[in-house]
Amino acid sequence: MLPPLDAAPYPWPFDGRWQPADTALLLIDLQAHWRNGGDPPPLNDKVMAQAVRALMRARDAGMAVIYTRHGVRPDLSDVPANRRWRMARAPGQAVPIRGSEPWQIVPDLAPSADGPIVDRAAFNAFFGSDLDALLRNRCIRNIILAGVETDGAVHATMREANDRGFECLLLADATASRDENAHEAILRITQFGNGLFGAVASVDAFDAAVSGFQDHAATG
Amino acid sequence: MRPTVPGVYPWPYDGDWHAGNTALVVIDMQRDFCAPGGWVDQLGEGVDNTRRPIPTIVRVLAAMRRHRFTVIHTREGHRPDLSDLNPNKQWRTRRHGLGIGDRGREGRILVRGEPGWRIVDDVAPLPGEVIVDKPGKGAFWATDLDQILRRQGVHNLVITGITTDCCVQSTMREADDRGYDCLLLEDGCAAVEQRNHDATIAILKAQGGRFGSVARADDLLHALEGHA
Repeated sequence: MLPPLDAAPYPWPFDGRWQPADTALLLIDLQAHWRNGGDPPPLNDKVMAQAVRALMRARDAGMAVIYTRHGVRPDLSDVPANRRWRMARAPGQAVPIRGSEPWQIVPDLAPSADGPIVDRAAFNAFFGSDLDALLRNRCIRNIILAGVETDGAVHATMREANDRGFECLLLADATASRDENAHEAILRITQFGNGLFGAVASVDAFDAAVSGFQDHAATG
Repeated sequence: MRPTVPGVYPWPYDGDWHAGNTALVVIDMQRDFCAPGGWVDQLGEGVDNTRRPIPTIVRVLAAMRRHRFTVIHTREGHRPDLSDLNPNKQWRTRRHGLGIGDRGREGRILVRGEPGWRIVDDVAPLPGEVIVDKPGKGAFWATDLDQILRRQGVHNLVITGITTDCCVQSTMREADDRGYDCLLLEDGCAAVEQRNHDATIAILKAQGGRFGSVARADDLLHALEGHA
């Protein structure tokens, strides 16, 4: 078992049961679209650096790392009609076309050869995807989330994962929105009511919990 | 055809709404969340905020019933044996001192059939109205809501209820991913904490409405009666 992770509003996970084999790092939409676009681009240098740290630590510990990619088909046939209408009306709502340059995962955070990538057209990465199957086939019960945007796909996916019974942790400094107020509000709402959707922690806390385990494993 | 409802965007996006394709959804107006003596009240949180939208929902319900729109009520609750309650959800709520399944002053908290789990009288369902019982925060998770809406040809939803930051937001996001065009009535919903209501409304209104439109009840009622 890994030691409890220093999180708010409770030491995570709730039952203290987590180890690399039953925990996945879920990296949400670390794509060029959100690195180069947006006002401001949510995937800035600071968030990139923390996401890279989390990724390296998870890989070293032998945790599953699962990527999601937000993208729509070139003919938009996977986008509901009202969302197509809204995307045309509000350019800020644009989602990259599958296969295009903005759709690619940024090189610094690119998956390893065997890292699964989940493609879907909706905010919630479980919707219209095989994410649930990938998690359950690996017997994952704990999910650590990072990526963009906090108030968009990240929160939608965390809400859904929580309803599905996964124990969730959001890495606050490896997660971002183009709107800092929205980012902060989501962190607060997540922690409300003793953790409506799970808990929130820093990459430092994740790093400390996992490295303690590794040191212990190495010496013991 | 009725005029659209002015809001974050003119709703519905295609201008087509009537009793045959539009439903009013009233989320979790249960005693445990908004009645004196219910769970939230027993936790000492106070129910002034969660009660606030009741008069608005009463008005919207009356008008949409008069025009014969589909009305759907949701209730959050669990089976008496708690077999549908995720262990982490039970654990977190018990940290309040009184968790889901525990015995409170209005019966077992959020357990189906208990007094506290019932919908408050002011907005109680009428015979024939759809009631969806849900174990999660989103009303589409582990329920037949999508099936019921599709069967009736509904693709526009007017959303009200509690709480804005939790079950209302989850349900609106779920509905939007499924292609329903949603209109949230910002004075027809509420949160336990006002700032979390305000922040959620701001998030839902941002970027031209990513998950649907947001308006006030009067805007809807005005358009409902045919006034542009």
